Amino acid sequence: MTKWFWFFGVIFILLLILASSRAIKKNRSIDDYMLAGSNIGAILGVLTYAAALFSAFIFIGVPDFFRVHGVGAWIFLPVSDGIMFFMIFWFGYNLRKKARATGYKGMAGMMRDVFGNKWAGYLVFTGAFLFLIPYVAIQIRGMSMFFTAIFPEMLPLWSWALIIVAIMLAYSELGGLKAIVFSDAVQGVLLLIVLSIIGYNCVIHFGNVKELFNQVQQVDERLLSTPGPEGLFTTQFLVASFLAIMLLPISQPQFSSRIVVMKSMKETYKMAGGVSIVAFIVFVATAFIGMYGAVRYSGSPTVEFVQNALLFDQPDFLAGLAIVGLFAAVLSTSNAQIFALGSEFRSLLKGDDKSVLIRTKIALFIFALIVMVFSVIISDELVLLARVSFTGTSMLTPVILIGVISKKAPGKELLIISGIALIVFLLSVFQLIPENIMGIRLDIGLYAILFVITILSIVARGTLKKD
Amino acid sequence: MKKLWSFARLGVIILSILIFTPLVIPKNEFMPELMGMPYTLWVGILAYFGYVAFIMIGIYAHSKVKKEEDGND
Repeated sequence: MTKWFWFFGVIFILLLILASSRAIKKNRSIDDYMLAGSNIGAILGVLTYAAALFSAFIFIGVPDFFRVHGVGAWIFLPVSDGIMFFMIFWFGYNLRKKARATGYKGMAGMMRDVFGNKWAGYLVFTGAFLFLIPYVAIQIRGMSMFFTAIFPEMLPLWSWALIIVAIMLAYSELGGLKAIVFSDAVQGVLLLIVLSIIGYNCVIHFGNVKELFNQVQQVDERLLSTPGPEGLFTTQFLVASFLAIMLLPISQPQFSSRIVVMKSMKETYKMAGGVSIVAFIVFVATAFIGMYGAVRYSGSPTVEFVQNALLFDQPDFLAGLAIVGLFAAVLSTSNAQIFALGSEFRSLLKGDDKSVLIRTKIALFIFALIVMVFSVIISDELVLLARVSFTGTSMLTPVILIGVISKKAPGKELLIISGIALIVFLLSVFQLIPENIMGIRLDIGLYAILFVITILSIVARGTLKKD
Repeated sequence: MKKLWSFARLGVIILSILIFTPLVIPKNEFMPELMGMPYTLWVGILAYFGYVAFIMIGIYAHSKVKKEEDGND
């Protein structure tokens, strides 16, 4: 397995170098560097969107979620992603239109201009910063733990985190978004191949799908329905997750920027359709891997399940490819998020292109350092931390959505309620206020309040009507 | 074409509501099975196919409607 890991690893690094060098040649201006020249076609679009979405979370977190909580995970993630893919082209159309009209550099800068208020930009940037940094950090931690487990004698956890951050910084600082998109394409293909084969192997181990679920039933019947053995998948939990995931193209800059940089709306349509099909294959595979784990590694720690199911139970070449695939997944998703933060930061800056680019690159370096520190100290709840990130940024939806679809400057009240919602949600994350109030989840309550005030605001101000 | 676009949007909304009813997530129920898969999983897969269908219809209708409204992107 180690031989194959180094073999595929060297090929992967060479591909990264190739991607960076190609991208450097094409980066003639700051927009080429930050927005990949806004010239991404459908196939690259599908792969880069999928790579930004599917991280360590999909390799480790989702199979583990199926293993521990059962088939309700299908409603939690794939079904929620289904509507999110619909949002790509509906919101994407409006976003691209607004981006053309305002000269898009990043969502924070666009909101500052649309609202005519610098605090709109600061709010969007702060929300992204607060919730993307822990999400990136947890992925790097997941990967580092995984490497520490399979190569226990080689390096300590923090060294793996350092290596990942260093590679990530090297090629994104040099090649910009184009290099990231190319590396995403490599990762997307790897992810699809590796997970499909492993998923298939997991079913074949039991003979067929029916026998797999028969075995799961014998282990714990509650895995076959909601709310699952630990009672996690309550209707409220699923609804709240559904809303948070549905809003990702609006609320998280790594997704909105991928919509903006598509060559045309036609390519954006193809991307939305394509990614919905790619995602299905990936989700089915993760479900089977999780169910396999439920039978064979019931009660084992996550790392033990993942390293066995993805590596030691697989043929050597596939295990080697899986490690590289996982490494690539973490690299590209982390990169997408750190770079998106850099874009948001850049969109708030003023000055000539050269000084803005230098300050943005310094900011990228600082963000990566913060991520590195967080990855060493953060907790191990991969999926739930990802969900916190999705929910946290979704509190900014009233600002961004109305900012994008409005025909005139939206009201300041949207900034105030989104800011308050963000703070309240943050307080609940730190358990300073309860997550449930009178039997209702706090996030659902916040969504309801945001929805009502947003409707009142746009009706009272006629924000969606032309003057 | 506008009707088809409205149909896709309405379909997505109705599907999104149905998902959170006992029709898709009955509590502690896994029968009837389909091809060995428990109820919530195969109905969930059908729901996903439903979204993909509405995405494809939506893409077709939305592109035509917006082309009429404001020409090519």
